[in-house]
Amino acid sequence: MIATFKSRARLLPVAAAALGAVAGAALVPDAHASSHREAPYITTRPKVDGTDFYMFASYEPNRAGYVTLLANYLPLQDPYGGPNYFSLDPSALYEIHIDNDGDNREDITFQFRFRNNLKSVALPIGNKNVAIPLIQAGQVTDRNAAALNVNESFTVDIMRGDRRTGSRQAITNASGGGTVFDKPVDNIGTKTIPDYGAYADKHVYNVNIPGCAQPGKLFVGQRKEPFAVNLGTIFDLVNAPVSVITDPALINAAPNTIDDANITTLAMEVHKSCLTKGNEPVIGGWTTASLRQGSLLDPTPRKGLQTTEISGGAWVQVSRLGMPLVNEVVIGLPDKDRFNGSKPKDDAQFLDYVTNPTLPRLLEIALDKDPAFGGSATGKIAPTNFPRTDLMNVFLTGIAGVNRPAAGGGSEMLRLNTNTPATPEAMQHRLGLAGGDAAGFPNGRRPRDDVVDISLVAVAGGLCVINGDNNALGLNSSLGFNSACKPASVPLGATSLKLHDAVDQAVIPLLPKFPYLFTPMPGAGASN
Amino acid sequence: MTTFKTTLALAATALALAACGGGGGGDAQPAPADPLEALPSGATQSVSAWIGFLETLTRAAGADQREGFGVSSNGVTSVPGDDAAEPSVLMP
Repeated sequence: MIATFKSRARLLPVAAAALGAVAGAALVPDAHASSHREAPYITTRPKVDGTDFYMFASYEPNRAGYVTLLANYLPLQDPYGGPNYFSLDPSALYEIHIDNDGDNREDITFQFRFRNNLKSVALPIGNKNVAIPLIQAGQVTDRNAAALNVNESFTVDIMRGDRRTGSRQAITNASGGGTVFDKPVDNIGTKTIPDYGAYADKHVYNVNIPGCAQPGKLFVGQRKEPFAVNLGTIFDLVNAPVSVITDPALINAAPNTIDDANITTLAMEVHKSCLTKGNEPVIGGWTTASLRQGSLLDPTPRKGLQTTEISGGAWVQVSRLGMPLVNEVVIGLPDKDRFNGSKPKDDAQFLDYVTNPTLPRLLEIALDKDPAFGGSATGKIAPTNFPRTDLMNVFLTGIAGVNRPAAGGGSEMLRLNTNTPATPEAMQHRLGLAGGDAAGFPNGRRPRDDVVDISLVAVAGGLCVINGDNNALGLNSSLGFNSACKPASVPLGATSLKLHDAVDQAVIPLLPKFPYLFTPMPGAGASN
Repeated sequence: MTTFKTTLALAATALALAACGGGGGGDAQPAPADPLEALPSGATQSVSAWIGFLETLTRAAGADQREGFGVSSNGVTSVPGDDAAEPSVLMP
């Protein structure tokens, strides 16, 4: 069932060059919200809603050989969302998993647990000390500042083997050996935190990871939402003319509707030697969040923070995210909650959604009246090569010669070939591999990669156009399935390579160093 | 882990009860020795049994080493609720 593995070293430059050649000719651009509120249940639990996962070769100068892992949670944060702002869930378990032998099971897991510490700041009012209603009582410039009424802290463990029964060890601060780290308070505003960038930098830790020869880096905190997206238009039956979303000159024609939103990021930088196993350079990564299976609501909560709900029992996974957009627009609605609770090793149950995707046909329905199609879009967008082995290569196995593990893969996760050198930031192509940039999506994912446009191109059959009649990229087969992944199977033809969402990912500001995602928008005052 | 006073917890509301009507009454079957293993059928037959099971579950030891058990796989799609009573206090 596993597709033949070809020489990675031989094929990688071929694949990148082939994809890049087409990008230079036509490929266009843009990006979206990957997994924000994508499944019915998770809309009720935003604190454990994983929205995006990034895994890439660190491109900060002098960090060659390191891999950066970013897991974003708690979507669509309004910066002014006080007085409580956006703490993570202290009763939840946040995890980043790594499969380093291609067997679709985690071999390494980083486990994050949070604690909200109430300091019970009180003010003398008359002859009584009275607790204040805010999370801060003055200016905040340092870790666990005295003016903070609530300080959020966290621990990180590394699990080797099964995520529940494997070997657990605590990650420690390289300075002092502590196991508890502070998370910066959210960007309340410039009067409370005059220089949020400097304040947040104090929460970037050098850490020792048991079993790893090189120290890593660690940060958890609020960041500016790194996506550019026109959410309303997209979900309103793609409320835009085809002439716009296929015009390369209009990749920035629409506003980024979440430009003022923040997100919370769990960030780690780990040397690749600590993540890989043996001679296998490809790692697969994904993030999950789990809650306790049982919970009770107390009608008279105790004094304290978040005491209304008391939870316990084993962990139940409620969020899962590897490759972007999968649970957003690939998995069918009846299976979205199920997908969020699933493990990669069990992904065969979702295979139909990849081999026979509905999104291309939905695009036909949404764009049916567009003048570009002369009155009917039926049969004019959706590729006809079933099963869609092109999508299976991208989403389930990794591409041969690029990021497919020797064991073959066969599940949904983000795959990175750690032998691929990082591309300096200034040279990164926002279309990643499709733009000839071997270190970009889908070979891992960087913040600058325009995964929505890349994914639009892919679902519309663009990869089969690139694959050509001679199967140049080997996309005609996957996991024992075969299809005619060639230009004749793509109704849009070369136009499939021009699809974009009219919002430019390139406008998103980023940091040139870990944790890469930008300083969050302030609740008041000018942004940094 | 916070401990509860069982007798006062019996009528407390549980999360995820909203979809259920009726409830109340009926004899609770004893919870399994390990509440992390399965949802006993008796736990879904009355509000008191359900709350009692949840109470045991939330206090179970060794939970960090476990994945939650499947609930719907044994046919359970709802649990009893009580539209009339206000829940009692959960005492630490």
